[in-house]
Amino acid sequence: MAILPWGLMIASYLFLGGAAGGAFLVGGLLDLQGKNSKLSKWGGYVGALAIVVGLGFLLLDLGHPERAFLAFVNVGSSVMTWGTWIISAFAVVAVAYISFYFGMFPWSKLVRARKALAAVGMVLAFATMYYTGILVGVAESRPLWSQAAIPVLFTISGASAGIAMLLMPSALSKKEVGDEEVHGLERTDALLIGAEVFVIASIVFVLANSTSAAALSVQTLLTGDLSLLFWAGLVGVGLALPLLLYAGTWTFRKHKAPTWVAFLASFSVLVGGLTLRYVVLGAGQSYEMTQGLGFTVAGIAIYVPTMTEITLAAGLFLVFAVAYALGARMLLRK
Amino acid sequence: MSSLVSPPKLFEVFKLQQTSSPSDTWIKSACRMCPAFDAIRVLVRDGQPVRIEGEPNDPRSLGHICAKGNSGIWLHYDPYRVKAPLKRTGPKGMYELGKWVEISWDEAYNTIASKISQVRAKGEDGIVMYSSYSALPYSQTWASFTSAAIGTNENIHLGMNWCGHTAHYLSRVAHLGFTSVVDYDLCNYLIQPGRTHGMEGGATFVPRANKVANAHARGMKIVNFDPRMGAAGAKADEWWPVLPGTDGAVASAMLEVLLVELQKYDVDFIKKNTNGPYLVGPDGLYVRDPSNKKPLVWDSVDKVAKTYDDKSVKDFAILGSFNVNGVDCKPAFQLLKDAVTPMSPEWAEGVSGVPAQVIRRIATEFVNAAQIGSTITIDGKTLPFRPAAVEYYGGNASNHLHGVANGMSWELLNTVVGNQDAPGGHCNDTIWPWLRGGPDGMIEHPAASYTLVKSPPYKFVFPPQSPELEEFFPLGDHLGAVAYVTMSDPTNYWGAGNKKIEFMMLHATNPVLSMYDPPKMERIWKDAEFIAYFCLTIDESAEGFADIILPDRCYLEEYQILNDWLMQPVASPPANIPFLHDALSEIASRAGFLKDYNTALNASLVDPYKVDVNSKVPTEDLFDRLLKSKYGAEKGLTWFKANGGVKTAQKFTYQPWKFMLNPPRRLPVYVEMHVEVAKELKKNMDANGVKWDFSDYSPVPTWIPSHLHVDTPPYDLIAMAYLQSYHTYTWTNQVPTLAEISLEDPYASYVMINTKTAEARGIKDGDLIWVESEIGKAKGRARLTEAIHPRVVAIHRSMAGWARNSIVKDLYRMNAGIAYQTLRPTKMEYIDKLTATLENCIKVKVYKAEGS
Amino acid sequence: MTRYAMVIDLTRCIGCTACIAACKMKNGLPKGVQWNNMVYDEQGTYPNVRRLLMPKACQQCADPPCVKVCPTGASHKRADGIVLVDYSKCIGCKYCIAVCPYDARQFIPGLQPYYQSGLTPLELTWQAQHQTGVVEKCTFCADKIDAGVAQGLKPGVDRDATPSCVITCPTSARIFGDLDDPKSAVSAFVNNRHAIPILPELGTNPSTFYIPPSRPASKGVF
Repeated sequence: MAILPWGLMIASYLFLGGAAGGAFLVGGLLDLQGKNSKLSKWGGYVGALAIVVGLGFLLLDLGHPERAFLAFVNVGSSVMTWGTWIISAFAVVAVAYISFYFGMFPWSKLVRARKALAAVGMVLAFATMYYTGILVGVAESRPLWSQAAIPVLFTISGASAGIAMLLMPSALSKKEVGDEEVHGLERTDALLIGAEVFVIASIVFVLANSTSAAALSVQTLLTGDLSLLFWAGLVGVGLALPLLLYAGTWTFRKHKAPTWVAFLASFSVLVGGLTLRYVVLGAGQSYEMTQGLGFTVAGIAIYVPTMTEITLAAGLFLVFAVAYALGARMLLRK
Repeated sequence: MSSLVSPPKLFEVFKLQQTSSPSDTWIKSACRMCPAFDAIRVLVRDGQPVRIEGEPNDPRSLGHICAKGNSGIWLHYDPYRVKAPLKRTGPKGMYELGKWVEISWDEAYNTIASKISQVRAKGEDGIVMYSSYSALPYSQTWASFTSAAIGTNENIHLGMNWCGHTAHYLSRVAHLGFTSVVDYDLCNYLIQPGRTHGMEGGATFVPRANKVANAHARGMKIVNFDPRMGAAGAKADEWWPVLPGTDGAVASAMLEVLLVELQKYDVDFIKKNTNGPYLVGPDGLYVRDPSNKKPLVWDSVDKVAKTYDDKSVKDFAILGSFNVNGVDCKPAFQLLKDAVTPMSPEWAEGVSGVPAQVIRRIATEFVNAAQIGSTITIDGKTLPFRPAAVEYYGGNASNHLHGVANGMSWELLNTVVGNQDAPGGHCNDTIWPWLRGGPDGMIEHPAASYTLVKSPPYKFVFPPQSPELEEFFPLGDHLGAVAYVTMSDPTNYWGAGNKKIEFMMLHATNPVLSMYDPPKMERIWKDAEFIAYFCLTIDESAEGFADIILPDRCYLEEYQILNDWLMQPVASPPANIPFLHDALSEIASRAGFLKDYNTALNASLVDPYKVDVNSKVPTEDLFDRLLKSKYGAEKGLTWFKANGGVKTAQKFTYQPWKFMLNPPRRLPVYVEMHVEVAKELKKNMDANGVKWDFSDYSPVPTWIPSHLHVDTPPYDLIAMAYLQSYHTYTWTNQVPTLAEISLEDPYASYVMINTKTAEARGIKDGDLIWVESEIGKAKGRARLTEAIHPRVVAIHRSMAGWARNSIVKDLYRMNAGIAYQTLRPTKMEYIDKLTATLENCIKVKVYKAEGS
Repeated sequence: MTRYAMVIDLTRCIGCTACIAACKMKNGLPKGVQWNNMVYDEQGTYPNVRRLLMPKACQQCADPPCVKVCPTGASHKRADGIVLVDYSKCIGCKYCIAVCPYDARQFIPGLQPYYQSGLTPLELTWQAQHQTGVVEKCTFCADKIDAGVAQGLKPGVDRDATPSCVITCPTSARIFGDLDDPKSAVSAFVNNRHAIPILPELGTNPSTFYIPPSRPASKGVF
């Protein structure tokens, strides 16, 4: 029985959606502040790329991707429909925004239009990040999901992942973007990670002492089937490691941090972002509120992605990585 | 030919419509997934069955059908169905996977016919005819063929494993019949130890389920004793775990509460309708009138002994001690009371684990609920009303060593409150009119013995001639286990087992998976000269031992008459497969006993419908005749095919032993017959130097601990088997839907083990474990649970098949469950000396397997 | 108005799985697909044990969260209260599964044959009743109800207009009918015998009601 519907594919989609929003938001903000057009351009590109690949994950998860356009229909009540509109609009705006950085387009000199589009895109970017949390937040039956902290957490995480995506090329060569912006972003990211820790801790504490179904969800994370991913993947690699490394780079700044440190910091934030979505989805669904379903759902708490899912995910992330690297080469050249 | 051992291709002959079709018709038939034979209707689309529903006009099933019945159409579509006769080319063996070549029907018939006619001609023993209890109980065709084939020869009776041996025996002795059930419609208090009707268990499930549920909803209290909390324990009002094989002690203690502590029982019933007043002398036998040999009773008013049927008796004494004609004697009831006096609830708690106060309370509730003395008018007749009953039919309460000696108290609890065949009480389900009593009306030997194929029953001869040692079991029930002991040890037991199975024919039964003690079974079956098997798929029995396999029609392709209902084909079989009767006719004809077969069939037919004994009767013609013989000229096959049948609601014949017999019979509270038969047997055994144990022939309840109840290191736990209501026998594991449902049951494909017991052995939930007995070991997965006695492990029956061509292999990730029979030892020490029941439970030890 | 509802009397239900099998066979559910599930639970410590045997399918909520979140409108509620999936509109996003508190829905990734040899003719017929890549659930046998009502039959009273699980139950533990009809059996059970829905606090307003078992467990739904 397929009781756990949302696994690796949707976790990847939510992660990329959040990161896309975060990247574009930061890039757009820098544009509006008139700083660093390279990062703005890069933010636009990363945002567009991440959202498109994320949509790829989503479409591959659907049973009937050829009918996906039908998802625009239920505007009245379906959060997913709202999300479909938001993300579609965001994707369009992000692509349009990047076009402003290519001289071949006649509108590339219209700075105010570009900034206006950035502003629109930022709203959509924020909505995208927030939407990924609302999506699961409306599920009253899943205590881990159905709380105000989740959209907040996903937004913060998305912003943090977006920044990490922006920073990765600069981590490889600090000369490619301005040092000031990089360090500013690193500081922001560290603050965001700290906020994440705060929110996650709150969720864990509150739920662990709430209803038994909620407590069981949390136990899956802390001591159950997802505990390794939670502690090693999320807390260790995704939160503690980058914090330590960012702290290190601030120390190192005077002595120029090795590139691998900065790169690792960004990469582990990304790993943490994906892990966060994955464990939240998994823990949220393994214990539902109809207590006494223990035996029928026994075994589904141990969700293991199928080989197909792993292959598709690896493939899509590879596509992302290649496009990301190519984009970094082309767009961030001096 | 090689395609037969690889999975067959899909057949092109089926071209099903994909949506609802104008050709949709509902055909009435009967379900043959268990002996209930509920009426069904089958939706047929373009000649193929697509759905089964209960037939609403069935007054017993009320149009309901269980999981098995719903899933039955799978049998028609099983891709592993045998489609042509097959001949074995490879070796035989218990776990051997057979090698086959396809042969023609002609060759198959000729081979079988020549084998059986050889055996018949030799005039020797050695024919075994095995059929599924579900497929063909009392079937006219198979039974007729059996009697014709065996003729005047002896046959070896190897069957019957899980039935309620103790219950059947006591039903004969107490009830005139085969099985008993409770009058649920009127009962207010029901005690169910062991496998429980209407809640679990696969046989006659639906009709009982209706009734038990209605009664429970009406307020009937249900108390369940079982080492395992199954559905019955879960739904009962009280569940009390009990150590296997000790239920009888609990019953005896309850009897003690009634007879000694409360002194509350149906005095009138005991005086007038039981042998309670019969005076019993020091030899354990009745004190009889010297002139007419009638048993004497003591008239407590006239203070003199009289014959039991003396009309001048003013009041029967049932307690006390007297002296008659110089003989010290007591009424039988006094002896019963004396027997149970030491068996107090405190004592029973020590033996069984059920708290003394619980035993006391339930006994009290039971006797109060019985409303002794009350009456009810039914159909104008005033009858005693006793709405409290115990029913103990079941694989486990009733299938123990010393089952009658230890467990007759269950039956006696019914008797002493006067509920036997009374409204609300413990009633006869299947009256056998030929079970008459002796001159004093009491059932006596030899009528009491279960003579399946031999009539009149064995006289004592020495050395014994039958592998079942029928000479040694004059009151024996199904003696199959004894045959396994002697035939696997042919130099012992005075060579009684030195017999080969010359010819065995099976239909729709898989003893290799469901019976016991694989090493012994293998020795006997491998030695068998010839085995022919009508089977739907190549199951474990076929794989290992069949010489010739014949395709069989499943119940959706066959005719049978059951419980006044017609089972008819709703589709053609997937290949050229004859009706079973036609195949049997052909074999009989080629083997030269067609006349005998037809003559046997004629016993079920009346003029003018009797068949010409010299020619083969086609199946449809035969069934038309069978129906008209029983139901009249208007109701032949055509009528039945259109209308289904004439089934009526179950109606009890209350107190048949009183009203149907002449003289009206009394029921036993003291089984003098045991003393009498034991005396005769002992004389014979002593004369021939045979050491034998007669303690099972106790006329009153007693307590004889078995190997289950003493330390037998290293086997410290007791394994028991059970059955869920979506399974019956072995073939339901072949049905994909049922196999899937099994897999979702948290217990069915695991070994149920108490949490603490498991933890003490370092076993965690889901671990692979070995369950080992003195004869073998089997691997399974542990399911830790609180719903079982700490000293017991429970294993679902008839699982873990190893036949290749089955859904079991295709669907189960591993052989789910454990084949219980790999653990169950068959030895003389574990066989009850009264009924020949083989102890159902097994002493085992349990430990973690490597690579868990 | 009509509001079809189901009452499951757990004082009668013995967990025999007849309804599970009936649903599978009538609806042609292939291997691994089940619209009706038996919930097994065990609580307590030996010998004070409680076991729950509870059939559970789509509760046919009157305020169904699945309908609310469906982006295409494939999941919809009929006027008579039955919640159905229009398979031609379902894109298989599985949002409905994620939000259903009763785990009543199932995604059908593909058709698996039971036997290694492939699909039997029976499964081939069934194949035509299903589409892969969509979400399925109990339909209250809407096809039977509609066909029966068209012939003037009464759901819950006449077998041919009543869900298969109801008509098969050996202990008559299932009652079906129109909750908006004050004279129907379901109304009697809900109003007089206190049949209750599970997880009412979630506000889903289910149309499936249970009579709690005689000896309920200490924690959980019953």
